Amino acid sequence: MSMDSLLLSFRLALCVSAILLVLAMPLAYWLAYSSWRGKFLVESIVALPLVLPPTVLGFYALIAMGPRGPLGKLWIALFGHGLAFTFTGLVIASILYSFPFAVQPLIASFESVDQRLLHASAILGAGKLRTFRRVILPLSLPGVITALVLSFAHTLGEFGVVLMVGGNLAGVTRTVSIDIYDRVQSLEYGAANRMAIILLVISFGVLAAVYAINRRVWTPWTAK
Amino acid sequence: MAAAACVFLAPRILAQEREIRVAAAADLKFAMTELAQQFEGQTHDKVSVTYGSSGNFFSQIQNGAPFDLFFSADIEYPKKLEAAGFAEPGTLYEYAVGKIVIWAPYQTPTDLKNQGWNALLSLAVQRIAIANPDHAPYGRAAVAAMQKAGVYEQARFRLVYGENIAQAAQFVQSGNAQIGIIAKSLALSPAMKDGEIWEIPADMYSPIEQGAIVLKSAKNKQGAQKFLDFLKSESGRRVLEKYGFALPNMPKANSAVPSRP
Amino acid sequence: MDREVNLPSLAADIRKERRGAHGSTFTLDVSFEASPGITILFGPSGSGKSTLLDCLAGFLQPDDGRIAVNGAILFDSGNRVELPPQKRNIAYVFQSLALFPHLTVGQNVEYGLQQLPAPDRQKRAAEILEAFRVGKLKDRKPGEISGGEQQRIALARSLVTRPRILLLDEPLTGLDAALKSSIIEDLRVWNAANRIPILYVTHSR
Repeated sequence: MSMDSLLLSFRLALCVSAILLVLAMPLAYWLAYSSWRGKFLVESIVALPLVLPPTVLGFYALIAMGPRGPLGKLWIALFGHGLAFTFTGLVIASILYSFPFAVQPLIASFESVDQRLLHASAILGAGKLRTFRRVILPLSLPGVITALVLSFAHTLGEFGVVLMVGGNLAGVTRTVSIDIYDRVQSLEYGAANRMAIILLVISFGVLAAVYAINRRVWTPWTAK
Repeated sequence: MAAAACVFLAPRILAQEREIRVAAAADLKFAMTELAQQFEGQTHDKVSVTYGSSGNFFSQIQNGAPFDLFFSADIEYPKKLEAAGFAEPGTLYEYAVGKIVIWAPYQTPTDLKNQGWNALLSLAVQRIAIANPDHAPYGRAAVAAMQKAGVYEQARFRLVYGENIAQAAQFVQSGNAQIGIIAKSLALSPAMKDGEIWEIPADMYSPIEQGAIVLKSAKNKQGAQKFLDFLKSESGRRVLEKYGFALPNMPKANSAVPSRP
Repeated sequence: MDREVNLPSLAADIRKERRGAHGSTFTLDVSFEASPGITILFGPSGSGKSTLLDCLAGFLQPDDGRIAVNGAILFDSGNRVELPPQKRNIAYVFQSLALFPHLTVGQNVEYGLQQLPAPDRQKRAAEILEAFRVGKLKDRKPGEISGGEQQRIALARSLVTRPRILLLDEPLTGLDAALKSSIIEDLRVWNAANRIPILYVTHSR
């Protein structure tokens, strides 16, 4: 049984969760600490991928990546070829799809940091960046790990979006979920089952890690 | 009160019985819409169609999907269902023979009419869309034809695979693939009018025999049989022909001349 | 000892309206001066003591008023001056102490000394920890030490930066009388060498 699709799914999930963390942090910081009254609008937009069917997201991603879409035009101008059916295209579509899974745990974590600790940092002369680096981030580590792990797991299981924009190219866009689907279509139930079980076991392991951290089975410092 | 409830529910129950639920392969989208319209005009039965990939329907029907009729793009699936006891005996019918064509939108700068197969290898083409040959008959036919034409070895690196023939058509139509090998029935549809067709000679691939069955678990067997009979009739066959299908017991069409209404 | 010239070091004039629970509003309206030494602000719960301290520190903006320390203006609603807390050079020990739980005692105390090179930082931190008798706890975490020790460390952390004033919000709650006196005595000793106003806010005797 070829492991290509499984490895591809892992590569995709790793890239997406890493990039997503970098993108989500500033946004989550702003949503946690800003007092702008229009915040709820941004929060709703961020949460949209939670309720949009993945195929809808994938369909519009396909249009946007095509030669008539904004992203596609830009990509063709820069690189001479389209964005659909590429690993990069999958990464971009997956980032949209898993966005709330990174942002929301971060917001929850940031908001749970005792405000007086932020005050103490400020009164001792630390600017916003230093307060973030030395106080907020270390104390939000569970939230950061949750965000990483959830976006990783969510991307691993992605199907609808990949189906719409992937083109099913072996080693490039044929993720394990598509592969399983293909096998079922071709009536190769044995292979489909094997891949599904491996995916299940790994996903379970990842989730168990998240919940262990959240239950304080492990913390990086002694609780007060 | 009970009488009012009966009056309210009765038409709905009757309507349910008169509804015919059809599972149809993706390449039948436009043909089936017109067939259903005509049929509904003649009788008073309602036809509701679900489109998808034949392989999907095959699995779903075995797991109790509530359809009355199954129109597959590949006659193998209904044959298997019949062998496994899911079909109403004696209803297996080869309703059409599918054809594949090369299709390119006007935006793609290839002279498809004159280039034919060479258009696939043109510099302007980065991606060629076909249906997944692993489980879609139109995909298998596309690969077979490309091999016969001697272009497969070079073209295969540009291939992208649609989950079904309709998605393959969508890849080309949206411009993400510059050219594609798709079902003739889809190429003739209004959505694909902004492009050129090059008909692939029928002897380059095994005939795509499309078969249908009435399901044993059908709630509306009568209605299903009626609709199937309609497809066998003159008017039904005319519609299928109009949408680019060949008919099984008709003399084989002249394959040299590409036709377009 | 020379007689001190009691120059007012803190001059504050503050009006602040706050919304309370159940839609009630409450207006803080104070005007006072404080000289070097311990000034006790005494009032029942809800009388606005924490609000006052937060305004002095810069966590809340008064609706109207003026705050000056040693003549330097920290806030002036008339002239639109509003220094952020980072720049006020004020020390503030909260009722909850707000020690950083993930840093050691030493790191906590050094937190406000980033602009100093490492050796100087460590020296100053060690000195003040000794002055408050908690030098040996340098490598422990706040969660591992007693309430009284935490209070001393909170004081040490805020005073090591040589602030211009010290604000104490309900300090030393929950400690027994002997411990309280001991800590206050150490504070007095420090204050004798560093003449700044200390605002001690409390609701109990």
